[in-house]
Amino acid sequence: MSLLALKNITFAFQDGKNILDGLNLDISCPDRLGIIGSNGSGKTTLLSVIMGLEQAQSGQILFNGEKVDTREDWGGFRKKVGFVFQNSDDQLFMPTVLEDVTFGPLNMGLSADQARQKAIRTLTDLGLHGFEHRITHKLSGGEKRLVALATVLAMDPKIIMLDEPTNDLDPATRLRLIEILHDLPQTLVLVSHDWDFLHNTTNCLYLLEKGTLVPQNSDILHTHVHSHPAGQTEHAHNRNGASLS
Amino acid sequence: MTPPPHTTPSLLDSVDLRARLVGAGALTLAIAATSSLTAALGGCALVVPAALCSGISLRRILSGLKPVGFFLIFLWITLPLTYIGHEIEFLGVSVSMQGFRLALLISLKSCSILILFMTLIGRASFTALAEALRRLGVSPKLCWILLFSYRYLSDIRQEYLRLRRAAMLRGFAPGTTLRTYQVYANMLGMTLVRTWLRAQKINQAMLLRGFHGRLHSLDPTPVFRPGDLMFGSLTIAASIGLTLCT
Repeated sequence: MSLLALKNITFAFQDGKNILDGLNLDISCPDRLGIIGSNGSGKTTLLSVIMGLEQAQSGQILFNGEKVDTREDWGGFRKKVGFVFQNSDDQLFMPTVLEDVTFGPLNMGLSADQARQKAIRTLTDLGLHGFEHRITHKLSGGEKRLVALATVLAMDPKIIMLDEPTNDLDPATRLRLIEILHDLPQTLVLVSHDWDFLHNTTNCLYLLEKGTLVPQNSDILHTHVHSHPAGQTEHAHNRNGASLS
Repeated sequence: MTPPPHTTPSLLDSVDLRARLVGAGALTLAIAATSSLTAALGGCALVVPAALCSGISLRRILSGLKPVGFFLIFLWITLPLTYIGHEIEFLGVSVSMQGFRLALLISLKSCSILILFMTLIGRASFTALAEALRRLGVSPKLCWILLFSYRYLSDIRQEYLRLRRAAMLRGFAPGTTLRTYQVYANMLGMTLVRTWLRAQKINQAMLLRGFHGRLHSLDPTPVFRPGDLMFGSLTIAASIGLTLCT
């Protein structure tokens, strides 16, 4: 049985044009799904519809085979499916890191002590030990991204959706995020323009085009033409473009 | 209530925040309502030693009084010159002793209230404060407004500064012209729009993390102890005493 299924989802904004048009998607555990598409193709809208932030005009969303429809269904769904926003500032709304990371566990019914321990464990797993009393809006961009991930991980979701997670990250933080995502046991759905990032973190890729998801699972041999000083010397590049010689 | 990190806990931190809020409220009302210099001096004599004993340095107290200081200087200049009653000649200018008295009364009252809040409430985190107010029966929505106002005031300011920077980098030079007012009006409007959009996103983020209308606190559920009740009673008694002195 699939973990999350979207059946014939159609969504349009008020201007009338269909952003999602009869979209189907089946996610099983332990899938690591990547979604690519041009700007304005509806990737963020798709995630918003999956999370119930936007209501599809038609179609069904099924979680573990059960329809997600009523307010109670969405409440339970959101405890099992986490969403990391593209802009971390939209995700961090409490004064301190500890308060933000414990927000979700406290809403799930954990006691203050349990929530605190869970938050500290999550922060430590992400290499953020000592961040508990830091002020959220004073963190750097990379720190905010990792803390935003922590706020979702602390709820122990089955699926985590990340919207453009490598935007505005320096190479070191980007690599750190790749390592973290590698080690997560959850099913991942990643929306990104970063081809190398998706190649390193996903096992199947979809292109969002004309309102539907098109599988992109065949490898295509290609070359990239580039130039830089000393190019005539024999050398190779790693995935991040740095020279290995 | 756990005091903020990197601060020395004082005896007052062990008093239930609700008791401190009630005490601060009662004393504030008594000090604000008094028209007696004796009572105002009494209020000052009560709060300043309490502040120093709670670990707040004199320097910190004076620094905290700076915002009201500019306003008080303005009063000290204008009231003696404009108030009517018991005028005397001073350096060739007619000044009113009643005006000086009023300026002194206002200064003592406002400084006392500020120091009182710094002592009793100033060391509490905003989250703990919002939770304590909620437990005292204040509307949860008002408590959220307090908490999120504190959280987002700096963000709103940053949003406005971002727009202003963008304008400056495109050659905008403010002056006393209609164009300047139009540009500032546009920036203010755009700040409000962006704030609104951010608020919608925050609402979504909260819903996605299981928010159902109740903000939970990390601090353990407080129980009133005899010491807290004693503290509350003493502050209320002090308030009544100050009121009777009026």
